Amino acid sequence: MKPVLELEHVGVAYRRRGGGRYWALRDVSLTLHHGETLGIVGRNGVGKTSLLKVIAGIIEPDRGRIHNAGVSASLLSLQVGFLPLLTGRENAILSGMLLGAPRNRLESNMEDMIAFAELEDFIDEPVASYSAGMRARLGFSVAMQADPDVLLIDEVLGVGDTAFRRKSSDEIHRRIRSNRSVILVSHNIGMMRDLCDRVVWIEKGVSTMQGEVDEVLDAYEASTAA
Amino acid sequence: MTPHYLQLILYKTRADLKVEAARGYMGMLWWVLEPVLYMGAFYIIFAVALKRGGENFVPWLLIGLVAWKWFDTSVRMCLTSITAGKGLMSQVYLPKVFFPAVVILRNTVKFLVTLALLLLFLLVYGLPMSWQWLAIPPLAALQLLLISGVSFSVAALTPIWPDLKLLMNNLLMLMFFLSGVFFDTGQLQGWLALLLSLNPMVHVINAWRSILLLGQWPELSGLLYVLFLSLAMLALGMYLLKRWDRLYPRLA
Repeated sequence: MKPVLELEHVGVAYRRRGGGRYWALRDVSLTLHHGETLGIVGRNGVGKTSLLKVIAGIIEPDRGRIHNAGVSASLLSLQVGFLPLLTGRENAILSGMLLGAPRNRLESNMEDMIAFAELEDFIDEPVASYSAGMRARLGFSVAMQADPDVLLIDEVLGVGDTAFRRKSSDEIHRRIRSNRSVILVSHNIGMMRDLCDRVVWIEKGVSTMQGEVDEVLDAYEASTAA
Repeated sequence: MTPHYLQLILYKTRADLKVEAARGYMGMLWWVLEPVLYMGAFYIIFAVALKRGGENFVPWLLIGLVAWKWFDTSVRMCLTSITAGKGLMSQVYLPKVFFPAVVILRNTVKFLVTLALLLLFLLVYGLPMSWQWLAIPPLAALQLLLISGVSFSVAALTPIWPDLKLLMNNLLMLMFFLSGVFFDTGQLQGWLALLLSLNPMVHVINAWRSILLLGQWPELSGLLYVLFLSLAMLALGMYLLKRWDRLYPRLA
């Protein structure tokens, strides 16, 4: 199978205040094949967020190379660019466009989006008047309109109240299981075993192990337990 | 720049204007009220209190002020536009020209409202409408080009070199006093006139006055200089924004 995305010895350094550099990511190599779900595990602060930003094209690595077979990759992000004084409908279009969805598609999918977010009676009210739960529902519903070739997910979390949390996390699971290429970062090992096709383990900014799900996760769990 | 991003810039501009209007109780009325108050203050100081200037001094002054304000506000707001967009740009990839472009368009809409008020004032004041008014759209387009060139360049540089913000604040003040808003640059001679003519806004303001006040076609040589300067700065700004495209999200 041809890889859609390949990272070779990628490193990212941040300038420290008062001189010097701090390598958030030292040496990461990984391969993503078409349609697979690649998991990334590692302790807090090993540079997983920086890695996702590199893959999404938000920042450029300071060393190493990225081979991209002409695919788009973007982070699953909620409530991007929301403006509280605009209505739910206006925010859905603005946020959806920021996430890369074309305007006409957002407009034609508007009714579905509203129905999914369960906001039929409030969609033309300013978002400032929404409860946190309503805002989260709209944010999630809009985020599902983004349609990148490679979906990058930093923790699968349901949002909103109990019922919507289940519904939203089911929706993400459905997307991950579909034929889309996904890179998934999570601390939930059980879920990773369930969802991923392969796993990369990153330790101190270095991709130390990459391969079969159980093999890598067993090794990772053994190291964290020690 | 793909059509998607152009559409996004337009939609975001509209959204920001709506937010601005929704903020106060009087909403869009402020777009009219603000320029009226701004021009009114200068009218009172110069025409009523100081009793300054000869014939047509007030329209002469207001034309300069309106043209200057569009330039000044846009450039000032663009200085921090990329830093202000940091939250957004670390969540989604956006070509960085998006940030200053939205600011410029927003100010351009407000300028057009002000311009309409100014033209109305000139007619009420008793200045005749002339064929030279046909030069308004191309002159506005040229000034927009100048604003974009300067704004893109300073927007691109400030995150890398934050001192530019303070420098520009002072430079804009200097340019304001040397742009001929308050005096006729045509009366100067020698090296001083030459130095002043480096300021592109001098030519732009002179052209607005030619068209609206004197009923004359503007002098082309000065505007040609503005055109070349604008294109050069536009190229510089676009180049820098592209070059540091993926660096900005990493700067604190």
